[in-house]
Amino acid sequence: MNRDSSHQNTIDDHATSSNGDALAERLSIAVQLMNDSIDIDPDVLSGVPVVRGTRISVARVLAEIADNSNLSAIADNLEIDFQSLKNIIEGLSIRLDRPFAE
Amino acid sequence: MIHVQFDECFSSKRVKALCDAEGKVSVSTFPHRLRNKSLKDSEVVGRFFPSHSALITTDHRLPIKQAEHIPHEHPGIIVVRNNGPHTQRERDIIEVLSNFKRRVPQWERLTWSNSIVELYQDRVEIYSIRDGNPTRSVVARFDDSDFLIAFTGALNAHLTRER
Repeated sequence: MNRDSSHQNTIDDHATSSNGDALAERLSIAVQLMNDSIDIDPDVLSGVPVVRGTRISVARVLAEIADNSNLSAIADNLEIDFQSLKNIIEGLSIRLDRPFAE
Repeated sequence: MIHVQFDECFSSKRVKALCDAEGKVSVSTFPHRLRNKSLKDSEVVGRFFPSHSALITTDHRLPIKQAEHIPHEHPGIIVVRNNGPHTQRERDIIEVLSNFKRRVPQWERLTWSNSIVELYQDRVEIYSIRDGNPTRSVVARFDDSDFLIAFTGALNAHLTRER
């Protein structure tokens, strides 16, 4: 198919712009989810990221998931808010869903 | 029977249930009234000391960074450490505690006062606060022939604090 090179550029630019907007929106959602669910405070667990309002590190929760525990069981066992854990996982998922190397 | 206060980072229903089933340790779990309060490290020491329960935590930085808030005399701090290749999980905590209890059969009769005891998979390290800083007294490896003597000797040496 013969395509005008300037048209091609326009289509590509449009596509890139749309993807860029979508990516920016998703990253914004991810940041919001994680900000709502994670605290980083130098005076709480010496600044290690924790599940909001708790002294339980996010790393611990992720390690428990890696150890084959399901999210609701972890929330119940550690007595932390299930929705916060879901938000953290969702936020991480969005943050990692992009190229980190080209 | 030993009395312990769980820090929130250590606390879990499963570990509490295991302690209860064992019947050798009296557990105070992290109070519900303090949950979702973003309790600061300095407040952990302030809230739980002075009580008669040793504080058990996985936060190894706590005794170092909050040394100034630890009273001259206190019921003890037990830190369950992790020197494995991955992030500490509940099963690692249980394994470290189980291993320690196997090596120290009289564990529930020990007095931990004024000691900061770090439990690892292969050893214990015992500290006390001197001049405002945690100072290591002993590294006792489970494989050492004099392990029990070194460990209990260090605990006993901290029972009476000089001012």
